[in-house]
Amino acid sequence: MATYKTLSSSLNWSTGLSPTPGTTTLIAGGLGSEGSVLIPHFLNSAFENKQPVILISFTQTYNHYVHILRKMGVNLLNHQIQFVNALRPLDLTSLPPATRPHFTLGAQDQWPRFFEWLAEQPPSVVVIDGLCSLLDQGRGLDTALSFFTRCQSVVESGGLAGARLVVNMFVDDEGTEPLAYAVVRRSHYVLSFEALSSGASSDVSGQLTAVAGHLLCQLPDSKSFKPTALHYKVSDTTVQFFSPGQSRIVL
Amino acid sequence: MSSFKKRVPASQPKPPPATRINPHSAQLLVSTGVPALDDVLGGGLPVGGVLLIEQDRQTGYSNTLLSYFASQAIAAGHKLCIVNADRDVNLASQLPGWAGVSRSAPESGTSTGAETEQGGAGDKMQIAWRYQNLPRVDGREADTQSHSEPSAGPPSTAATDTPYCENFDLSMRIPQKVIDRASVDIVDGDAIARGMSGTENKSGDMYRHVLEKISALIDDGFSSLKPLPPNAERNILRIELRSLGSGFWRSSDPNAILAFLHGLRGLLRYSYAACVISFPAYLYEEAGVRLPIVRRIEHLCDAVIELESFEGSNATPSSIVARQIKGEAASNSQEYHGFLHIHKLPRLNSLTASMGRLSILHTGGGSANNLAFRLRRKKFSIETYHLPIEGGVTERRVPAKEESNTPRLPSGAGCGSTPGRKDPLEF
Repeated sequence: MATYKTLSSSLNWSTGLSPTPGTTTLIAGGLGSEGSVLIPHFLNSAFENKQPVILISFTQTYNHYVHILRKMGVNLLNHQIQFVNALRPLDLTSLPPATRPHFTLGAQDQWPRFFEWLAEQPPSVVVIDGLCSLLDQGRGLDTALSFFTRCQSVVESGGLAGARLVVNMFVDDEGTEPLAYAVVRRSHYVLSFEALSSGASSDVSGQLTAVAGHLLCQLPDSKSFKPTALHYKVSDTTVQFFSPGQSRIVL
Repeated sequence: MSSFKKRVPASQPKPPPATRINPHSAQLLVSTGVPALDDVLGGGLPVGGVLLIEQDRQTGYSNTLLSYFASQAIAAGHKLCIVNADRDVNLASQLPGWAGVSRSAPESGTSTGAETEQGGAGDKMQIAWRYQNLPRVDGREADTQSHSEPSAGPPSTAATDTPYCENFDLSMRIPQKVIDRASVDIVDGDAIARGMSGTENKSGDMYRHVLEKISALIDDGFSSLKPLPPNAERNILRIELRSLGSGFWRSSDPNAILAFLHGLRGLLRYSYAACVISFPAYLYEEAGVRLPIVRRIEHLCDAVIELESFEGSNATPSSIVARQIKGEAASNSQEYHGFLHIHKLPRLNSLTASMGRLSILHTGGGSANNLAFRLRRKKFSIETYHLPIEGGVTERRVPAKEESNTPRLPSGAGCGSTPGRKDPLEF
């Protein structure tokens, strides 16, 4: 249930993940249309493909994802997932094992140790939730970009074994736009969430636009991807995607 | 009433007083003090979450919401921390009281909710018993009813005796002795600013000082990462930040508020604390358009609401003063006082906000924009906005002068009776 099959078929992604290993997918969301609703899809798609997952979150605790996926019928204890707490460097060893992070991202001078740990992991689907939080923390654009490129280089080095990078970030103002433009230039796919231009609706949460990133043209099968626009409705246990005007609730 | 009782293991920890659990996200909730606002938020403010109230322009309705939040902390026995930068805090004159406050307010960390029930029972007016269990947004009955829900966690004396949301009266005040007994910590922003200018003017970041203060408070018994000593009960820390981002919050970095909010979120997520922030969004405008940083501030908070008062939104200060002198505000006291806009709802442990299933006022989607508030003498309420009756209520009544000019029928003239003769049915 955690895999959004309509979205996968619209993007022609049969496994739910991008078809070519080593690629980068950017999820851009706004205030009323957060892209984090896609994270369960990528996590469960990786689990179904027997791929390990590394989830780096700057915005939420591990408990948050555990609860959401449990409601979707996925028990994270049964899957290979490593959670990196990047929200705040705290000593979390007192937490129960089910919700205890596997790594805590500390201050910037401790990042080399993190990248060493990341390189030691088996080729995985790396998901970064809230990359723009590095800007909120007062770090510069260069720092945020260097974090992204280091993660991307680790993923690309394990690309043949099926590693992929998924980045979710808030893009809604001038402060985060430079970072978003830079990441788009280093991405293969861009999934952009936005509110309905026609206004609020109780049956449609927003619109998803899938377009090619700047690096997609370098892939051999780049022509198989077609830009897509879908509407979606978020519920407690899933996200329903449908073509504009084809909502099951309305029809 | 059913005799069924849920079997609960004795070793299960008791929830903190005056809290309930959201059955859809397993998230602990506390009340904001305004039942209608709790309803809009999906049952209350999640513990570990931040509610941002974008202040109304030139009026003080957001301060009323903050005073409700503080009064609820005292009524529930929670610890209260107020960080103030631009306004003196005088709890005895600013916080609304409730019936039986002088004898029912629990001391901090202890639950004397039984006294509250006794005090409230004496004042309670008995009406038709069959209506007592009907759902209501405002009122104490709905709150006490929810305490007995099986999904509200294990039955405990602390959670069931203390009401989830007290019924406050704006015309009353909390006695000083009750405030003295409560656990209240007031952080004076002016003192912090003076200390910054006196000793370490190099950074000048008031946000950092306040975050360190909050961190120390959380470490003092409100962290979820530290086990409690034996026989100790969990309590809730309520943090109230007034006018965050105004000029009184001094900082050399214009983006320091973003780092502050991100750090605050990281602290609260691993704590038994909830935070309400009032934010003067109208100060972040250029030519009537909000600056982009406001969107990032909203993004960093879990719930965002905005109060837009009718008096202050499109008025000059002189027109407001003139209106108050004429007394128009008093004559329009039955009307709404402004709109309540919902920009974001809490989504902790969930993909979507739970208000769609739990809220009476707000059902999601387009209904986010049809809420209004009104401030009465005793109560602040949030209601669904509707236009008044066409032509107004007063024009539908017969004016007093016309009523006196109409020829009065002789006494006893009625249907079927003859004028001038006494009606045999009259008594």
